[in-house]
Amino acid sequence: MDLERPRGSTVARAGDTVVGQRLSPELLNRQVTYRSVYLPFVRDGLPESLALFDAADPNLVTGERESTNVPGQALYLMNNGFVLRRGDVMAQRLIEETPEAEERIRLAFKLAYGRKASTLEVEQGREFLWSFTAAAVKKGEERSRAGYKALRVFCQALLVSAEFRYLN
Amino acid sequence: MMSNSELFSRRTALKSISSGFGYLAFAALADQQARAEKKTSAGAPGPLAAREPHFAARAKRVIFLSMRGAPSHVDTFDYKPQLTKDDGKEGKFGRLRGGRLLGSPWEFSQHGESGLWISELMPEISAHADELCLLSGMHTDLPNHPQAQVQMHTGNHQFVRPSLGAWALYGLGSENANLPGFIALNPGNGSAQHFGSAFLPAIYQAARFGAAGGRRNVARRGRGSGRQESVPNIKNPSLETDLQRLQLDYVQKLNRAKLGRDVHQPAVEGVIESFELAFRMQDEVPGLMDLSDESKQTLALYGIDGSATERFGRQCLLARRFVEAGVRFVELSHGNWDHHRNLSEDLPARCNEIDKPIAGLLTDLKRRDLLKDTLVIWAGEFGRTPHGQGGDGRDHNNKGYTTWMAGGGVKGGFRYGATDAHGYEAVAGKMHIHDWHATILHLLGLDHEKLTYRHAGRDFRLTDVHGVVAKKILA
Repeated sequence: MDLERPRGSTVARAGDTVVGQRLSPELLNRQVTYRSVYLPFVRDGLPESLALFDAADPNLVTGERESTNVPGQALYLMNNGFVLRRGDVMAQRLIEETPEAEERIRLAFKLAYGRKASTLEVEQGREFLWSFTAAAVKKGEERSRAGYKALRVFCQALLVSAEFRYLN
Repeated sequence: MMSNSELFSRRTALKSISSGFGYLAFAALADQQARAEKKTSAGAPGPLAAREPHFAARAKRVIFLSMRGAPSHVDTFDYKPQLTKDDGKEGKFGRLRGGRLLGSPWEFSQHGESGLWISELMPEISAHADELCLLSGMHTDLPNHPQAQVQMHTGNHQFVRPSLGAWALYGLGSENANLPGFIALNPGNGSAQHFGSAFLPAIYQAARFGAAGGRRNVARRGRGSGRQESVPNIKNPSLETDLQRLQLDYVQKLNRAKLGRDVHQPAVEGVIESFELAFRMQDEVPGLMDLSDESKQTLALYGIDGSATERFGRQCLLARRFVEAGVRFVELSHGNWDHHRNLSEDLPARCNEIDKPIAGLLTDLKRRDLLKDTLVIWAGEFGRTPHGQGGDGRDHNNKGYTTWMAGGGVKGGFRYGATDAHGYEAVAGKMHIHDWHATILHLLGLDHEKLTYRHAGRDFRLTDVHGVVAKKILA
């Protein structure tokens, strides 16, 4: 899969997009939240995140992009600071918008997938938030911190899921 | 979702049957995970599944020791007494007009039962002379580093082509479902093409571990913690494994729900698989890269003792751990062999950095009975001129140089090919990069003419339309 679309959308859904800035490969490697339209390339210096996500090799004429699922991509989505931060920002936005857990879940599905959450999905979301919070508390985490962590991890889960990453 | 069930056409049936394979793959993965506790190396599913070679393989895996910058062959593995005799005489070739021949300042002697001539710069590797197959008739197209390095890795210096390691993985698959099949340790800056899959599916590209370019990594290396090797994004900074598993279970629940909703969605199957492989890698890779379970004797064997041999020693030991765990192709690299000047000091320093680690690797592979089917390859991108440059250096030379192989079904204690009396040009047993590639694939049980991939309307090979297997070096 390619990175640009999910990257742009991730930034937008989380709600911390900055507009109107020239983006260089160095900037992309740093933690910036510009949605990119054009990106200057140094031929041998493809940013690692793009190289991982099948960006066209600047040395090649590429008629059609490869689209792969390699574990390096999954590691990036699971653990990279940029992705974690997007989950964090999205969780903050949900908290600002509504205090109600169920409403937060509905809003999260709307933001991430552009559709209403089904009754089952709301139920599963609640169940996840509850069981994750309980597990974190059991590990000695303070209750409100554990609750926030659960919401952050829930947002990241939506942002890395297949429905968010692929167009139907 | 059930709305079109009344119109269950043949096409829909086929599509939904194929998306059913996603569940099958997932079940297989879950099963493998259960078996992984036994630490067996279950074959990976899909494009990385271990495959039978074209014919009986002599080598099952490769460790490629890449010497960036082109080591001087006439000072290491290609003994030229005539060059010593003619020291100071006017050289016949070279970019510098009237460059004077420079006899090697180092002594050569014979080693092992085979009596191979090797210089005093490689005392520890010399002790393994009877394992070495020296290829002294090597030549390549261009005497420029970037092109020659790319050609050494891909066969072609003009166009972007898949790496040798990517071809090997494409041909043979991987023996371990929890690890990438092709690993490049500490690759140099701007070397993406050396390890790329080009038009082959991206799953065959190398996973680059360690100080892979970038200022951040250089800074990290400079900290001197001794832990230079790392895998990007291998650990979540804020979630413990069991909490992350909860998150991943939720992600997979979302993914499987999508898989169930869509009539046909092969990409989602890939997403499910790659998350599980990544999760298993998180578990397996840090342990593999942690050398603390190695004995003091083993660390000493590789020269991991805080001295100049430490850095490459760690790489060599990691390479053994990776191949032992089932990785198909591991490449290590060591730089700064471009001795235009200061040959007399810099060449011994570089040789010292690699000599003990490589000898340690050969010893360790042998005692674990891995050398017989592990092909170890040592190579620079070209050689250096017999005439001097500025009195204490040598220029680039693509016309003749030496690489070597050990283990993996090659003749030990054997020298194949030769350069002329001064070491300038390959004159016997000539081996171009294409021949070298054909031979490496042959040792892996792959016919370089049959290992093809269709791209842009035709079948491509690692060796293009060239390549002759050097049958004489086969054990």
